[in-house]
Amino acid sequence: MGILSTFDRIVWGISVIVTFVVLFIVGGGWLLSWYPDPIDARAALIAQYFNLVYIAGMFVSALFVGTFFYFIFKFWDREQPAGLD
Amino acid sequence: MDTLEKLEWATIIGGTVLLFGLGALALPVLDALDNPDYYGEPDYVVKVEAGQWYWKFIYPDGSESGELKIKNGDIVRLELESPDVIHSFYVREMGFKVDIIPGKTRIHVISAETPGEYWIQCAEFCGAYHGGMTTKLVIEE
Ligand SMILES: [Cu+2]
Repeated sequence: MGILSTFDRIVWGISVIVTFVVLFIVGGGWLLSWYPDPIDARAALIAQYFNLVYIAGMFVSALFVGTFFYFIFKFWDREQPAGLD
Repeated sequence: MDTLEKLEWATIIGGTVLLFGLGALALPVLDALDNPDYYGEPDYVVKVEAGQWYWKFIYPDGSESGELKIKNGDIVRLELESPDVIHSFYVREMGFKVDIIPGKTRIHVISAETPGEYWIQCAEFCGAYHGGMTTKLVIEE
């Protein structure tokens, strides 16, 4: 992690948090994934499992995008011109 | 081991644990859904006929209705059949869909615990009036 500055770490951290929140909303969200209340124990069991998969999926997505940003900062050489100047 | 290698291993091990963990946790749920003996001995059998575009429920005494009426707490064995195309029996509040394939009898056991009226919808596109292929599940006290 030596190559990352404090600024990089803050940006990286915020990116992960923002991505997490965005995926939470875009990926269905509690509002869009609204589902009527279960009316029996089995339905409750199924709903519980779906929620679990949903939350696990959010973590994996956040991790995935977080890794993407990690690589960008890791190999981003700011000594080089950006190519736009 | 450098950071990238650690990250790689964390991804491999984390992903494996997550997948197998979720897989293992899914087993009791799948059993609850698909095992016809999950609730034990059913109280009675209701035959369900799903066709273009209607629902027909045939009770043990031979009577028929367009709405499924059962008593709260009854363990009901549904035997679902279709004379034409594939339909799907869907009650959102019960968290399952059962595809009804022509020529086969699908078995699904239900047991409601909350009296009320709920939607039954066809959840498999079955033609022009698929969207209108709804009826009610009435769970009486
Ligand atoms: Cu249908």
